[in-house]
Amino acid sequence: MKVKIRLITDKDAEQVVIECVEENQDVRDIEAYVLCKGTLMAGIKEGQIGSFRLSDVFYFEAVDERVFAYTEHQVFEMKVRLYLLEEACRDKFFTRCSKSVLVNLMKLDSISPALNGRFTAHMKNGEKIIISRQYAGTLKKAILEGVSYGI
Amino acid sequence: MEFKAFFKTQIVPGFFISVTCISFAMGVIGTIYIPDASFGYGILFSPLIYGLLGAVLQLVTYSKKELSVRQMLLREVIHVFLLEAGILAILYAGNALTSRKITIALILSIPVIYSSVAFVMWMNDKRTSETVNHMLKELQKINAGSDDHHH
Repeated sequence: MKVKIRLITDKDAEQVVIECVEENQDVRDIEAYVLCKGTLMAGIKEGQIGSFRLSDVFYFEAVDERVFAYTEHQVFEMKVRLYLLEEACRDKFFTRCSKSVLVNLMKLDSISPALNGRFTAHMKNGEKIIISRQYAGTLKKAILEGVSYGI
Repeated sequence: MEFKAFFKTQIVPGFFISVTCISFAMGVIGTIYIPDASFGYGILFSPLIYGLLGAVLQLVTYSKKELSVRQMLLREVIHVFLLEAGILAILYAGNALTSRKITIALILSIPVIYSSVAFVMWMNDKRTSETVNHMLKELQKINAGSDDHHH
């Protein structure tokens, strides 16, 4: 696939145009990745497309090859793979806390030790998510990088 | 969890902590029940052997898939039972179970040592979570500050 970047001066006119012969999975993945880089996202809720802000998402969860975004009161199904969301949202304080969950650090209240070396993530809406042992280090590193960058 | 991560974060620290606790338990039980016994240098390897047995049997708690709390607890209980059986078998084979009192003391010491190891590892995790929580608050404060600046 060829890639062309054209510099413009008008910020409001910034866009990504995908020219393709067929709208296949690769094209949809690229579309989803680009959309994730924005702050407004689209998902399916009760069979209808709805929009929500990325900053309102508490966590993304992959279940049976489907990805769901959980805000405080709503759940949206998204047509994007979790690893793409992880790459796109990394600079927006989302980090992996287990194989199937991407958590928003801004919506995380605290963590506490759980059984067998795992941790529990206590979200600001009262929900609890398991942090796998192997991702505890990743989470700590993401927070440290965020603090270092902020300072 | 990947086996490498499980080995590094569970088996290795568990081994060293259990060797310390086993040494202490042997000292206490020996002092109480056979204070006049004398041993060769070979006895110094006993805690290492029992610790290694515990580490090998800990494999029963390993799973590549995320386990529920109930599943994890069940595996921990199986681990304790296997430890009891394994250690008592070694002691019986070595004619160390010389009296009923010593046998009961040894049987009771195994879950006590197991709980001590779990407690030490939990305390370590608690320290980690306190550090992470402190850093998390800093990150959220910085991000809230930068959001206000942009608005």
